[in-house]
Amino acid sequence: MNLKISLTVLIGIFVAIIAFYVIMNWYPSNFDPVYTWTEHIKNESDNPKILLLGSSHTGVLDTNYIQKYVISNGLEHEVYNLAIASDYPTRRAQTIGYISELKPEMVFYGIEIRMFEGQGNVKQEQLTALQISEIKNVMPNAKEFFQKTVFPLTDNDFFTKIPKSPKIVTLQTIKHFVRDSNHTSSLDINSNRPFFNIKNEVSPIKELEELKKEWELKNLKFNGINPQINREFDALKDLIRELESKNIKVVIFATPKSSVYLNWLTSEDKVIFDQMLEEIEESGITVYNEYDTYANYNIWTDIVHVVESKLGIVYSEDIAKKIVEEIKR
Amino acid sequence: MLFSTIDFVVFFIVVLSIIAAIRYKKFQHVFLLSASYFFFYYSSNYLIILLIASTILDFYVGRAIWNTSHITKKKILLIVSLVGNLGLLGFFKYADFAILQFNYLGEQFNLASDIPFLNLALPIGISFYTFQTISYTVDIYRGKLKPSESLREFALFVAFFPQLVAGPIVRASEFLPQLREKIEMGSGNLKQIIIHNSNLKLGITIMAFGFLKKMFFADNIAPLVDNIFSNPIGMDSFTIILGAVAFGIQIYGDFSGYTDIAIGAALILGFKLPMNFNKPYFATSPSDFWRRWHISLSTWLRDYLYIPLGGNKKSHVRTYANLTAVMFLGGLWHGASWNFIIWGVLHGSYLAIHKILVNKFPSLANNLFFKTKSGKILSIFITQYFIFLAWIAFRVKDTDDMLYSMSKYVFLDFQTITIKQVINSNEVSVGLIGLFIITNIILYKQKNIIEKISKIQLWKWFFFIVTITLLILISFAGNTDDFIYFQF
Repeated sequence: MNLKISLTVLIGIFVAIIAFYVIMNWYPSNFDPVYTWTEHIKNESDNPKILLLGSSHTGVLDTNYIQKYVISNGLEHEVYNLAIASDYPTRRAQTIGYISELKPEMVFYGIEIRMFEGQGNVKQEQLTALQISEIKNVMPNAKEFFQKTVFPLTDNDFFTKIPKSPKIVTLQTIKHFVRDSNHTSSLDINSNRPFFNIKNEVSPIKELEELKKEWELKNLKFNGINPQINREFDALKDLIRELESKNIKVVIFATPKSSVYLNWLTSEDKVIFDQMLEEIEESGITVYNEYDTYANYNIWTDIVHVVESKLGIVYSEDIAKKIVEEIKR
Repeated sequence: MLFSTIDFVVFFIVVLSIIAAIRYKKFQHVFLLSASYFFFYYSSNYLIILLIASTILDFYVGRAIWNTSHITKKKILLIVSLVGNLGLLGFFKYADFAILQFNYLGEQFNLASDIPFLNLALPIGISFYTFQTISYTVDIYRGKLKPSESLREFALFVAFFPQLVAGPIVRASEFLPQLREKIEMGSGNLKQIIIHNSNLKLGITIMAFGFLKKMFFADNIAPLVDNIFSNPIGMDSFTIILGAVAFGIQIYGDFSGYTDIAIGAALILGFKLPMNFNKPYFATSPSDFWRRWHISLSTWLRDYLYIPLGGNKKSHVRTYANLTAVMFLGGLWHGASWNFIIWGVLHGSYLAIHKILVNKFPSLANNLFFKTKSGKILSIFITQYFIFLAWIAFRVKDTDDMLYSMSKYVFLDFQTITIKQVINSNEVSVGLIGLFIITNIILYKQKNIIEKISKIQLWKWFFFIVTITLLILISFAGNTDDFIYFQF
C-alpha cells in the first residue's frame, strides 16, 4: 500500500475535521442569536430563571403577565419565553447547550403533535432502519461490541462540542451573510421573549365555524406519526436527559389546539401522541396535556394559535399557575 | 453496516491494513471472507444463516449440475436451486404481502379468511445475493460456466462485502476468475491480494464521489422530497414536478453513490465490479434508460427472464407482453408493495410502446433530426418526462396521493401558490438540485473525469480530499439516512 497516498488521505481527512471543528465553533460565538442572548443575560442577575421553550404556540404566551403572576406569589424567579417559530426538538438541540449554561431552575417545554408528524413513516430510507431494528439479536450483538471497543475514543470534549446537526449551523451561517438585516431583527436582546416578536397589529379572533370553513378549503392531510422511528421524539428525549443531567427540572406541556384542528386529526394519531406523553411521564417528568383544554373557546386566531391579545389570556393564566405550582413543589 | 457511517470507515481501514500487512494468499482470502461475514452479521445477526444456507445449497447444486450428463437430473437440480433461492426470497419478502392480498380477497367474497401476518424481519440484501446465486446455477446449467472449485471462493463471491447488500449484482463469471492468477475460470494459483497504488488512488476517488452523491446531494435533497410527497394533495403541478425531479436525483445520488463506494472499495482490494449506472438521465429512449440505470439488474432480467420467455424472437405481441411481464417482476423485486408494481408496469409499457413506435414507424426512428444535437436534447426531455412520472409511483405509496400527484404531473394547472412556499422553505435542496444538474452536464461532456482526478498530483489531490470531506461534514444533517436500496 502506498504510504504517501494513505497519509495524504488521512491528513486530508484530519485537516477537514479541524476546519469543520473551527467553522462549527466559530459560528455560534459570532452570529447565533441564542448564544448572543445567553451571553448577554448570563451576568444580568442571580435570580433563578424559568425558561419557556417551544414554537409559536408557546410564543403567544404573555410573558409579562406570567412574570407578574410569579412575583405576586412572592417569588423572585425571572421568566423568559425562548419560543422560536417552527420549533422542533432537533432544532432546539442545537442550542440547548447554551441555554443550559444559564443554569435555569426549570424548563417548560411546549410540544405539539405537528413536531412529530411524518417522522419516519414516509421516508423510504428509514424503512431500512426499521427493518434492521426488527432483526432480533438472537446471536451476540456485533454492533454493540464493535462500538464499545472503538468508540470510547470519541467520547471526549472535542467530539461533544460538535453540533448534532452541522447542516443547521452551516445554513445559519450562510443565511447570516445572505440576509444580514433580517437575521439580526429576529433577536430582541432586552425582551423577555427575545426570539419571538409579536407584531404590533394583533391578529383578530375568528369564530370556530369560520376557521372550519377556511381549513376545509385548504384540503390538507395530517401525515401521521410513526411511533417506532421518530427522530423528533428521540431528540426530545435526548433534550430532557441532557437538561436533567445538569439538574435542570423539565416540565412538558402539550400546547392547546382548537376543536377544528383536533377533529381533523385521526383518533389513531391522537392515541400515538398520548402514548408519547405517557412515555415521557413514565420517565418521571411532569406532563400537562393542554391539548383540548380550550378546544371550544372563542380565543383562536387560526386553528392552532391562541390570540395574542388579552382575549386569550386564559392560556397564559393557566400556564402561570402551573409554573408557580411547579416552583413551589 | 452502512457505508456512510464511521463504523464502516474503521472497519475498512482495519481490513485494508491486515490485507496489506499479511501477504499470505490463503490467509488473505479466508480473512476477506470472514470480514465479509462480519460486515453482514453486524446488522443482520442470525439472518446470516440464510446467506450461508443459500451459499452451501448453490455451491453443491452447481457442482452436481456440472457433474451429471443426464438432462432430466440437471433440470431437477436446477429446480431445487430455484425453489431454494426463490422460496427463501418469497417467504421472507413477499409472504405478508401475499397474506394481505389473500385476506383482502377473502373479505370481498365473504370467506371470513383472516390469516395472521408472519411479521418476518426482511433479511438485508436478500434480493441481491439470491439473484447472484441463481445466475450461478443457471449459467452452469446452460454450460456457460464451470463451477467454482472451492466453497471458500464461492462463498466469497456471494458474500464479498462491498457489493453484498445493495449490489451491483455480480456474475460468477466476472468475479471468480479475479480470485485466481490466470484469467480462465478456476485455473492458476490463488491470487495474492495486493493493494496497488493506482487502484488505491482511483478507488478512493470513486468512493469520495460516492460519499458526495449520497451524503451531500441525496441526503440534503431528501427533506424537499419528503416535504412534497408526505402530503402532496393540494400541491400545484409545478410543485409535483419539482418533487418528482428531486426524488429522481435523490434516488440516483443514493443508489449510484452506494455503488460508487462499493466499486471503489472493491477496486482498492483489487477487484473490478461491473458498472451499474451510466448517466441514466441522459437516456434518449426507455430502452436506453435501462442500459444506463441499475445495469446489473436490467442485464440480469434480460438474461434470466426476458430471453427465456422468448425475448423478441417470437411475435410482436409476445415481445410486448414479455417486456411488460419482465418489468412487472422487476418492480416487484424492489419490494412487496403495489407502488413498486405500478412503477414496474409503467416501465414495461414504456418499453413496449417504444418498441411499437419503432416497429410501426421505422422512418421516425431513423429520422436524421434525432441524430442532431437538438434532436437528442428533445429525445432526452421526452424520455425523462416519462421516467420522472414513474418515479412518482415509486416514491408515493398511498394510492390517493399517487393518483393526485400523477394527474397533476400530467395535467398542468399553471398555479404557483405552493411552489413558492416549497422553494422558500427548501432553498438549500432546490439549490442542490441546480448544482447537481450542472455538475452532471459537466460530467457528461467531460469524459472520465474521475480517472483524471485520480491522476492529478498528490498535493492537488489532497485538496480534493479535504474539500469533499468538508462538504460532507458541514452538510451532515445529524443522522445517516440509510441507503434506499438496502431495503430491496
